[in-house]
Amino acid sequence: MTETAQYLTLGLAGEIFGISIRNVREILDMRPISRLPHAPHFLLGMIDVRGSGYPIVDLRLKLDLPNVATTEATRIIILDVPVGDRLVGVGFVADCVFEVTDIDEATVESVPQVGGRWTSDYIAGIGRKGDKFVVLFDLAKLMAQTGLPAPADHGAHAPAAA
Amino acid sequence: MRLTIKAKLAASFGIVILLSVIAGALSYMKLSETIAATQTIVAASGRLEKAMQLQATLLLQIRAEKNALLAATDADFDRFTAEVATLRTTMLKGRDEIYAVATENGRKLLDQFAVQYTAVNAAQDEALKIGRADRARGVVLSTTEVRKAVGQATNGLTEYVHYVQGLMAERAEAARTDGANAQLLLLGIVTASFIIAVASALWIAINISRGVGRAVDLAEAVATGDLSQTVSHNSNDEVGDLIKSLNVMTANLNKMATVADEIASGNLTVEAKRLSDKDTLGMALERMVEKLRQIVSEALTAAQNVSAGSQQLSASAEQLSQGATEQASSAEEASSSMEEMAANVKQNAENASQTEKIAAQSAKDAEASGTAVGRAVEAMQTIASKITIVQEIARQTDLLALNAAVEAARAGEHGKGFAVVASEVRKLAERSQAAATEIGQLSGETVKVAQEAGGMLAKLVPDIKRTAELVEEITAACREQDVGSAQINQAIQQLDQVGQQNAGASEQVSATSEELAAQADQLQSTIAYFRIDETAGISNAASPAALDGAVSQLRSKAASMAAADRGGMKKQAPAKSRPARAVRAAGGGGFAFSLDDGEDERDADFRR
Repeated sequence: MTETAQYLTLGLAGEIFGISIRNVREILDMRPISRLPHAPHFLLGMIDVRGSGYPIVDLRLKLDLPNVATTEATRIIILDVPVGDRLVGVGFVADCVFEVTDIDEATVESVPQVGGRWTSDYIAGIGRKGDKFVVLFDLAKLMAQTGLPAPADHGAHAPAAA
Repeated sequence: MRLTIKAKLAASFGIVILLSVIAGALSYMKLSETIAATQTIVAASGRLEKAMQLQATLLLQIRAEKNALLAATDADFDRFTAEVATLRTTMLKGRDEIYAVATENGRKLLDQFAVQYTAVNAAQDEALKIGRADRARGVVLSTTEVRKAVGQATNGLTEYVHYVQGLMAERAEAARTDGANAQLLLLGIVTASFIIAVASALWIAINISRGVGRAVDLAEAVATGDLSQTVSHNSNDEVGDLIKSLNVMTANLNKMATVADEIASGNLTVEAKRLSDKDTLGMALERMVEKLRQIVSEALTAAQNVSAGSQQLSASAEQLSQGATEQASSAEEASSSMEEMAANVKQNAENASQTEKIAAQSAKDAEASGTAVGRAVEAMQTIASKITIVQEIARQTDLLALNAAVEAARAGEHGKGFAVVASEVRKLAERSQAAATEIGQLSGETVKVAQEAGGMLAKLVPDIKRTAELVEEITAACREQDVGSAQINQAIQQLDQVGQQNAGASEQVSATSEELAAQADQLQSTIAYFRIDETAGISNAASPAALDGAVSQLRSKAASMAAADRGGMKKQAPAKSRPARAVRAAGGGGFAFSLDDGEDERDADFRR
């Protein structure tokens, strides 16, 4: 029996990306975001979810993709991102969210080597869903590229899975 | 040599004047002579008178001597002696005066008298000298010596007086003889000049009056139009010139008359030539010939045109006849068609009024439909707004199901059942969302369609109203058509009458065209009287044939028309005994008339 892992698939600029379900905490509709002064360009601001504040990162800007306007399908995905030795709650803005799906671990390929420097650290692997590729994020490395403001009470809500 | 009247007059007047001059000169001469003779006689008479005075003075001298000798005193004696001396001086003075004017013979006599007078004076002086002393002796001496001397002196003086008297008588005689001769000569000259003047005047006057009389006769003859006369006159003078000119004038007038005669006899080929630029008659003849040629050629052309026109007229008459027949049948068809049309028009009027009612009803219905569609649109808009709520709920449900799936996946094995439920819920949410989207689209489309339908109905309403109005107009038009069809029926009847008139007119036209052809023929023959030049003559000769052709063609047309009429009559045989222009009422209310009655006597004129 092949081992499978569950991923939440999301759409970004026409491509499919996958985030391990263990890191996903909640999916929300797009809502108003409170902007933060002196924030990096990809950090849109903060939102409040049932009394807890989360920083919101625009994945498009994060991945150096062109910015687009918000649509009805735009979603905020609240994630548990491992930063150092703890988990931090961060909201990612994606173009759309597809589903929770199983991806065969055996079919996951590593990042192709083309020589030279290419910042492909945030890709954990490239899985397949049907005939389409699903780029699987390595959240720790993705977020490690830039520092994040650490919310004070984050650790209380951090889930145990890592 | 040319003897003009001027020369004749000059010659005769010259002779007469010459004779007059001679007569005048003669008269002058003789008058001068007479004056001279008279002067001579007057001078002689003066001398005679002085001689008489001398005699008187001598007597006075003698008397004074006697007085002195008879004087009583010496004073008286001296006074008379002084008187004697004075008288002597007067005596001598008078003798000298006479001597100055006396003739040779007279002077001799006067010299003789002077000697005697001297003797007288001497005797007297002697007597007086003695008488002073002794008077008686003086008287004796005086009565002897002195008386003797005085007697001689007196005789001498008397001799002179006689001489002068004789001279005067001689001169008077010579003057009388000369005057008589001059009278004779003058009488002769005057008589000759009178005869010459009368003769030449008669000759010239007779010559002139005879020539002028002939010229006047000729001019009178020309004035009364007689150009046949000529006058012969061979005198070489002005009257001869006048008569020659008159003859030339007559000859020219004769030429003109000949030209005019040629024109009158129809010969236009003659050439009328003007004699000069002021020859009005010649120019008039020229123009007349030219104009006549032009007129004749134009008249020929016109006659040919008339000929062609009569052909066309004939063809037109035939067409008119055919047209009249066709018109009759067409009028019948039109009449029946008009009846059908009238029925149709009535039907149309009824249909139109029904349509009008229906259209009004349709307009009301369409308005009601419009309001219904408006309500439907509102309902649909309400549905669309509700559907968005459903869509929102479905979307939220989908999100919830996704979150549930996430929770179930995080729950691992324990959450599997829940994951299935979440998946199903999600599927339902998606389906409901799809359905809601579909409903939304449908309702949107329905709203659009309903709005279009509403717009169409809104547009339809005025159209229907317009239709109702138009149908109303159609109804009115149908009524007018009804009236119009009645008028058309009337017009067709009038058309029928016109057709009959056309038939009559066509017959008249054919007769007229025949008459026209005959007139053209006559015109042609009349014009043929005038002959113009060769080329015109050819066309002139050719045109009668063309005219004859036209006339025969016209006649054949007329005949064919008549034949057609007769043929028609044979087909409708029973109409023989009808009066002219039988008109039969056609079944459809129109008229059919036949042109074939054959009762017109003119038809016999047409050749078959």
